[in-house]
Amino acid sequence: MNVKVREEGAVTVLEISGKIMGGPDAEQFHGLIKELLADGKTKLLVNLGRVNWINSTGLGILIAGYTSVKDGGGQFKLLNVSERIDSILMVTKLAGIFDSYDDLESALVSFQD
Amino acid sequence: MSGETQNGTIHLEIPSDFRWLDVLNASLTAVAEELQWNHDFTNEVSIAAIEAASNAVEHGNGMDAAKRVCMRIRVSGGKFMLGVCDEGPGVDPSVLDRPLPGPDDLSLRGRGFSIMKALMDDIRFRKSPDGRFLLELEKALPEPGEAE
Repeated sequence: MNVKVREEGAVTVLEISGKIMGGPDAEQFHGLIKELLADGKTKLLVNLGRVNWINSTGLGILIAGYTSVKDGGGQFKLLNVSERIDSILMVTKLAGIFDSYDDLESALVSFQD
Repeated sequence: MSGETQNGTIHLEIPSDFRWLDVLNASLTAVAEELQWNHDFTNEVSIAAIEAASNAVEHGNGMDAAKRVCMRIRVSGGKFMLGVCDEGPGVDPSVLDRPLPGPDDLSLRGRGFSIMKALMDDIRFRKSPDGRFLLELEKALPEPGEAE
């Protein structure tokens, strides 16, 4: 898993590519979220458009990110959820947990609500 | 096209590293194209297969690249069958009876076997002939022309 961070106004976009599979990914992602929250960045948009696949452990990584940000008073949303990832969210009944968007503009507007 | 792997089995063996799961995915993609599986069937089989193999890499072999994960793909008798074995001690079979965490339960783990069960028709554990832990998954092939 590779993560690039960029700013879109008040929103921090995490561009993830590769596989979200657990192992060292969990620690890397958790550390990054902690760092961003410590820097006062509480509006996080996770772009999954370049993620090849995710497994149940990877799903746990996203849940951990969501929970940390929510507990820190922030928002954690998903962008460009692929059909494959959506299937996993549906099967695990977690689709309703994450706010997800198909385009950047709509996602950014949603943070203004 | 016979719709089967001609009574043959495709064997793969990879080191316990997530990078090599691409080999499994590429093999399944090739089988799906050759046997003209529909999109939904291919997607479901692929998700379950990656889940099974990644479990073997991470939990079975503890991500020890010196340990191997073996996989066999077979399409026969109207069924897709996948076997995944690792060098770990095995899993308590009662894990298959564990219910999926509810939608409000944000546990970080405990969904892997539920995903496989939801997408496949049958899932079971056994010992492979060489004594390694083996997970077997099965799914009936879609009827020809079955809607996606």
